[in-house]
Amino acid sequence: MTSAITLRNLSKRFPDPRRPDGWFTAVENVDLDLGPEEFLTMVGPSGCGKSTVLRVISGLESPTSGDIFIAGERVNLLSPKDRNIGFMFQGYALFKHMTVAENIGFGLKLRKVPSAKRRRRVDDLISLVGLEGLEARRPRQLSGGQQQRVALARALAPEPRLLLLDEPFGAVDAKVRQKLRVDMKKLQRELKVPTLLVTHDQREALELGDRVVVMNHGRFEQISTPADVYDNPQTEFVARFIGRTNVFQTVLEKDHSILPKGTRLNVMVRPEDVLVNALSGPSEPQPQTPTLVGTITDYSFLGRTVRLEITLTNGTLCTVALPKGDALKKKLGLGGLVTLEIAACHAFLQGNGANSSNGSGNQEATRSDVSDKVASP
Amino acid sequence: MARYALMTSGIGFLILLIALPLTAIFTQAYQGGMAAFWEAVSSPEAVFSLRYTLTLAAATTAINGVMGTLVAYVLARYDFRGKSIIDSLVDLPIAIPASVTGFTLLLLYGPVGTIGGPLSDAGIRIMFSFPGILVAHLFMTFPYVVRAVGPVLQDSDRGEEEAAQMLGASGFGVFRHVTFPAIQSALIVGSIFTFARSLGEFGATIMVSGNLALRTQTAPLFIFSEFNAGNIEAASAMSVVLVLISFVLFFGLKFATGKLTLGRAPQ
Repeated sequence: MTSAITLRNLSKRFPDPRRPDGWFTAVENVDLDLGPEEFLTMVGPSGCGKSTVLRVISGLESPTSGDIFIAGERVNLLSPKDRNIGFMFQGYALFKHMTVAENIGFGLKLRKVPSAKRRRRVDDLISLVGLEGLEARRPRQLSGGQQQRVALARALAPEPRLLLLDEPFGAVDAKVRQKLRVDMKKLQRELKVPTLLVTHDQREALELGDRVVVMNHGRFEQISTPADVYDNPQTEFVARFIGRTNVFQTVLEKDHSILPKGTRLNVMVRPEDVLVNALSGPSEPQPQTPTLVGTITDYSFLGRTVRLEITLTNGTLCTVALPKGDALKKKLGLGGLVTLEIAACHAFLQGNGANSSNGSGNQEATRSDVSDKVASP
Repeated sequence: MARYALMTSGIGFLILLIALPLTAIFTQAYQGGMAAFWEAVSSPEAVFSLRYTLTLAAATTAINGVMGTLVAYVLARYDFRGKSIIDSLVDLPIAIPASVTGFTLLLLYGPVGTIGGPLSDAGIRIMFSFPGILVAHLFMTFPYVVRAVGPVLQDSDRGEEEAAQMLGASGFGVFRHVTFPAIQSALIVGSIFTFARSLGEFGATIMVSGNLALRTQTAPLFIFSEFNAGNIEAASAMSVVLVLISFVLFFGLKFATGKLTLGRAPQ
C-alpha cells in the first residue's frame, strides 16, 4: 500500500538576517512515511519546526530541498488548493462572516457541489461532530470547543485524502480538551483518514498517536509507537521530553562491553522505575547490591499515585512515583529514611553531539541500554 | 454649577461654530421662497456644476477605492525596502496645502509643464479639463481608503485566507470570499470620506480647472464665482444643496460605521 504521505530529505530554511549565515533552518533533512489509515502525532518544544512540516506538506510553504509525496504523487509544485488536504489551523481560522453551515460547506461550494447535495453533506458533518442546532450561528457566538468542531467538520467536508491538524486543542480549556481528544480519536478511527497532528503537549501525542514523532531543532529524534517512545527513548532529548525523568550525572566505574571505565554518562530514571522501601532500623543488613539511601523531603498526593522527593545522602534529589496503596503499606512519610533501587534506566553519553569528546561511533554507544551496569549517582 | 458652565460653554461653542452658519445658509437660501431657490439651482450653470461635481466625486471614489485598497493590501501584506517611506507618502496629500497641490500639478501637467508640454504638442490637454481635475481630486483624497482599509487588513487573520486556500480557493477566490468581506465596511467608510472630500474640494480644483462655467466649474467653484459676482441667492442655494448631500453622506457613514462595530467581533 502506498503511504499517505512520504517525506524524503525534506528541509526548510527561512532567511534570518540575525544569524551569521543569514538562514534559519526550521526543518532539516527529515524522512517520514504516514500509513494509509494512520494517526501520527508530532510533538516537540515550541519552535522545533513541527508546524513548518505541516505547512510544507500543505503547500503553504515550499520546501527548500527534498520531496513530498501524497499517496505516491510528488506534490512539490502543486498549489495548496489542488492538494486536497484538510487542514485545521491553530486558532481554527474560521470565516468570521459566515455561519457554521457556510463555513463547513465552503470547500464544497468551491468544488461546485450542487446545493442540495451540499446541504446533505453539511448536515451529515454537523451531526457527526455534534453541532446540531448551531448551523446558523457565527463563529464568535460559539464556545472554543464548538469552534474546534466546526473547524474539523470544515476540513473534513471535501473528503480530503489527508488531514493535518495544527495544535487542534490549543484554544480550548483543559476540561473540554480531554473530551475533544477522545472524540477526535474515535472519529479518525471511523473515517480512516490518514492524519498528522502537531502538538507541544506530550500527553496528547502519546494518547492520540498510533505512532509518535518526537521533534527537536528541526530534526526527527524518534518515530515510534507511544509505548516505545516512552520506554525506549533513542536520544537523551526524547527521554527528557517524554514523561518525567530523573537525570543523574554519573561516571562508569567498571568497564562495560562497549564503554570503557570512566565514561561520563547521563542516567535517566523514570520516577516509577525507582523502588522505595522504608529503612526500618539502623542495624538492618543491606548486603551485596549497592543500595541508595535517602530522606523523603517532599510528599505529594496525586490521587492514584504518590510522588516523593527524596534527598539522597550525597545531596542528589530523586523523584519517585508509586501507587497510593504501596506508599501506605510501606509506611512512607515525610522525613522518613528510605532505600532506593533502580529497576530500569537509560544512559546517554554526556555532551553527546557538538561537544562530544568521543570519537566516531559514539552515536551507537549512546543509544545502548546500560541499565545493568551503572555506578551509583 | 461648574458642570452647567462646562456644558453651556461646550454646547454653546458647538452651536456658534457649526449650527449657526448652517442656519444662516438655509435662511439665506429660502429668503426668496421656494420658487427663487428652485430657479437658482436649476440654472444651466448650476445644474452643470452640480453634475460635474458628482461625476468627479464618483470617478474619484471608484478609482481610489480600487487603488487605495491595492496600496493598503501591498503595505499590509508585503515587506520591501523603503516600505516606511512609501507608507508615510500616503498621508502627504493631507499635509500639503491644496493650492500647492494644484500648483504642482499645473507645473507638471500644464501646457508648458514637463509632462503636459509634450502631451499638449500631441493635442492632449490634461489641465483645465476633466482629467486634470480628476488627477487633483485623486491626489487630494488618496489617503482615505488606504487608511480605512489598511488597519483592517493588518489585523485580519491570515489564517482565514490560508484556510480558504486549503479548501480549494484560487487567489481571486480567497480575495472574493475572505479578504473582501473582511474589508467591506472599512472600504465603505473610506469611500464615503473620499466622496465627501472630493465633493467639497476647492483649493486644488480652482488651480487646475481654470474655473470655466459650463466647462470645468465644480459646485464649490460655482458658489465662489456666484458670490464674487454678487449673486448671493445662487451661492446660498447651491450651498444648501451641497450641505444636504453631505448630510446624506454623513448618515451613510454613521450607518456604515455602526455596521462596522457590529460586524467585527470583540476578540
